[in-house]
Amino acid sequence: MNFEAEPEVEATANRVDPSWPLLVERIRNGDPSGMEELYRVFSTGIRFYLCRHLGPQDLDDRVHDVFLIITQSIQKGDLREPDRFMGYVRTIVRRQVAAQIDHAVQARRNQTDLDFGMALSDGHPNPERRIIDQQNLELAMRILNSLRKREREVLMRFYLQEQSAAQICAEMKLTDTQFRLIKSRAKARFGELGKRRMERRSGFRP
Amino acid sequence: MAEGINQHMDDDQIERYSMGSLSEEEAERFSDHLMICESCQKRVAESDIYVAAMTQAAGKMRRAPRRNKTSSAFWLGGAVFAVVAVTALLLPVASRLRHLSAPMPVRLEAMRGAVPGSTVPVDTRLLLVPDLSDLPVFPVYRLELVDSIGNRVWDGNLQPQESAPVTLSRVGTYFARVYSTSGVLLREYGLQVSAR
Repeated sequence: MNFEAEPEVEATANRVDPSWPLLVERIRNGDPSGMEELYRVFSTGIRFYLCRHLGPQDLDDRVHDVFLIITQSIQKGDLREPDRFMGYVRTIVRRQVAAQIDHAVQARRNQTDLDFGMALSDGHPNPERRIIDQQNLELAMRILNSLRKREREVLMRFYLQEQSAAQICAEMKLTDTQFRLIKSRAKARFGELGKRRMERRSGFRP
Repeated sequence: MAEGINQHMDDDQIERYSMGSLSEEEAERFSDHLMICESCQKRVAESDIYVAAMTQAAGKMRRAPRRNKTSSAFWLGGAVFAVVAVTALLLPVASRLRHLSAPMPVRLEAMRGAVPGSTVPVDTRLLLVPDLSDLPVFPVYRLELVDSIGNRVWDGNLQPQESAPVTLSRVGTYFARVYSTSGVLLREYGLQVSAR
């Protein structure tokens, strides 16, 4: 994970402005360039969404399935309003996530001998991920421990108790600027410590 | 609409997305933007890591408050004396009050096959700790416990590494389900309650 300072981005960088109806028409006609554009525009986003909701296992297959469903449904004429193509894609992806979870739950329930404690997802071992998560937790603990009590209280109210900024400011007599400063300092510190950790690791690589 | 999906989200909105606290309309608009913007995907991924780490750390810290070093030795000594004295007085009584004993931690494991702790005695105070490893990271999850025919017997919000206090007074099979903040079912575990 890259912990560099956030790059300045144009307000509308990475702009995508395809004509959805034209793209849909090309896909409907089986035009390979339409499929390619569909993949180019949506592949990273669909992959990101699926990974965030279902985890990294079988990700390539799942992404492929989503694209298959999108193209087949367009070719069948299921998309009535091409102008709403973005929402259509979003809906298909969400349904796939829900279907994956439902399928796994049903498959487990249909087993003749009930194995207690079985996971919904296979959850093949990922010790490296667990170590990274533990290290991130330690970084966060270190940051919280380094703060003054009042600043720590602000972050605990926001992240743990999920109080709004307005409530925290009102109850702790803070201005919005003070509140944002406390949060941004902690986040910057987290990024800085994370970057140093990665640099130390890189230094040990052959 | 095209202008909307091309507009990046600011840091505040990204953090609220990670915490699941955007309005439904905002979340949909941002989801559309995330479908096509790698820059914001990266920022959300980093925010997810940060929010999860801070939430867990804050929870851990809340459970183990900091102590003033200069007075800790004094208070520690007093606490030890008090515990010993109270224990000596109450031990005969406590042994007869089994139903008031410390709750039984039960780890709901994401593993195949019968696992230790997956069968629990009836009428026992339990602390259910679901295995959330390899699940998408959220600051808060929702945990639901249902019986074998789907009746809900318990539900509540759960932070990572937190436990759910439950007492089950009927023998039978139960299912514990973990949901994301948006209501997506993430994992299910089985639990068997048996007679003492």
